[in-house]
Amino acid sequence: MRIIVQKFGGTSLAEPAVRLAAVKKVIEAIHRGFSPVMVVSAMGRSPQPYATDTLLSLLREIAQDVDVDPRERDLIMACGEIISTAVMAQLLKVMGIKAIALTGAQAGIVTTSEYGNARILRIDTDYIMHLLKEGYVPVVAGFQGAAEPVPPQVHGDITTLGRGGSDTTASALGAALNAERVEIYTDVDGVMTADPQIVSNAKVLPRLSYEEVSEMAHQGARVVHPRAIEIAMEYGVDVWVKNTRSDHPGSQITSYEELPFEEKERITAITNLGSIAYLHIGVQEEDKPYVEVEIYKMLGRLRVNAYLASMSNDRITFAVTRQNLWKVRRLLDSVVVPVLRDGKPRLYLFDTGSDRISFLIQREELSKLGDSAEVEVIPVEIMENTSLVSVIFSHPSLLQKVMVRMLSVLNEEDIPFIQIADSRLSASALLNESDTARAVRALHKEFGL
Amino acid sequence: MDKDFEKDRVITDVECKRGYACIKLKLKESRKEVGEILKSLAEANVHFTIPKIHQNTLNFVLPQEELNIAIQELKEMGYEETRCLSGCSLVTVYAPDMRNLFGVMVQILEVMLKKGAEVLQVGDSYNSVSCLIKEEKLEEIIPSLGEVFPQATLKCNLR
Repeated sequence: MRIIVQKFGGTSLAEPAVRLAAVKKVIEAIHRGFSPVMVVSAMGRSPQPYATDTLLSLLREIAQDVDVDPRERDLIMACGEIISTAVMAQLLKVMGIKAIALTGAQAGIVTTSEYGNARILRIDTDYIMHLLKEGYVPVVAGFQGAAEPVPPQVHGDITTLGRGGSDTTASALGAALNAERVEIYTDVDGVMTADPQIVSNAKVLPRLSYEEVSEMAHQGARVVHPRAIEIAMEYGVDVWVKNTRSDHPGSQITSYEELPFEEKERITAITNLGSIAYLHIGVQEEDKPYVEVEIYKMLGRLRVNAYLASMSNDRITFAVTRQNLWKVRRLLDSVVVPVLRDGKPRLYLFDTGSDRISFLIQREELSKLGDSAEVEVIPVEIMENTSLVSVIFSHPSLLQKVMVRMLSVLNEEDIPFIQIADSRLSASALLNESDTARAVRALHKEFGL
Repeated sequence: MDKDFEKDRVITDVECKRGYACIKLKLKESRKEVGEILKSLAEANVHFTIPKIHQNTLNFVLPQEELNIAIQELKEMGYEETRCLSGCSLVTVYAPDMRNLFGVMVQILEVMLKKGAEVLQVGDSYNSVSCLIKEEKLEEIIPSLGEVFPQATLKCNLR
């Protein structure tokens, strides 16, 4: 049996016309000799009625100041996908295809019990295999599973998989069912060489390695979720990214070894990751390691990830998402980090400039300590509007050359860079957000993409 | 069929590589020079990594065997005041999705602080955090990182 898993995202299910286009993709797969398994997301995006956020608002609206229980939050969040399964199964039946709607649990997806961010532990495929042998198209709710039942429970709680959940469902089902391929349907023709909203002549990449696409996804490209790629890579499942509304062949995501010779050392794409805040905190050189540990400890407790971290003798530098900046401001504002220096406390008092009253009160209080402690006021410099522009490549040996060309283009275009960074398959520059589009376009042209 | 689909979101590997050095140099006028400096180094086959800019300085890490070539190149470009540190190791911890793991950096920094190892430079990506430290600290650091990240495979030759 040649199994294919076809996943359709929210935009591929939002309206009747596009739902029909999705069903046609399933029928085409049957005509090509495949036994399809359809994985679906919730229909549309908020404020559409069955989108996940719309459903969640039903609970939030009851009482704004009362937290929603994670168990019930997962239960309602899972409903959007379940609605999609019933609608798509009915549509397939109307088109003369035997189909059956399945929740994640009914499809055999067993997860950990971390509500909102569960991991797939295993997939019991017996029932799906039985359905496929009977000629059914199983329509599976993405983004969800069920935890193991805890006695006296008979059935485990419904859980959701967190970001990229439906892609993860598709990829894991592909691996569990030994599918020939997984197809991820979206509203673009495939993985592009740049964001087409910035670069009008961005092209579809016919093939990419798992590593290239992971790098792209982490550096801001909206492609397949990295969790799904991780599973596909582990189990050697080929993933295709395609457009529900077109017949474009799409992009194949496969192992590096499968890439043709000319693609094994190539520049792949230009990505941009916006809404980054970059922070600088100056401290005395001798105290820096202690203060640094305290700051990272506090960030960890807040579940804020710092990246683009950098070491210099007297400055602590890192980036956070702008979404998390308010938490970081609240954390650092007027916080005091004590360091014992020659038996005498040195108190670092941070000032982000956003809460003057708290800062002045705190400083006043500390001044009462007199000579028994040394108080150092540390202004925290925050660059709120930065973005990371990256050149992605397929082999680590290209790093130095790519970095040099990237900086040369930025210089020629007179685009100032705040910081530079490298990783195994990318060279990046942190820029003012207002320069992003210009930089992406210039780099796209320079690298002949 | 049962398979372990998603790995635990933990640090999976700790790797150390010996034989690194780092260079810190003061820029003459502006950051525009960084491109030219790195270009000359790349043309001389210097495999720089973790480049960082701090105000008017540029830092980077390179294989120790390329240090002399790099210094020579920089001299020829008129950068006489370079500060170099050789005998370093690059310690890297890996996780499949580092950006959804919280507190990894502090766990690493705490080990370094406790063992008196100065972190000379740090680089991070979506699946790794790398720290440059002096090589003599490696034997103390690695077992401690092993204790902090018990699920990690240690890929280090401590001799």
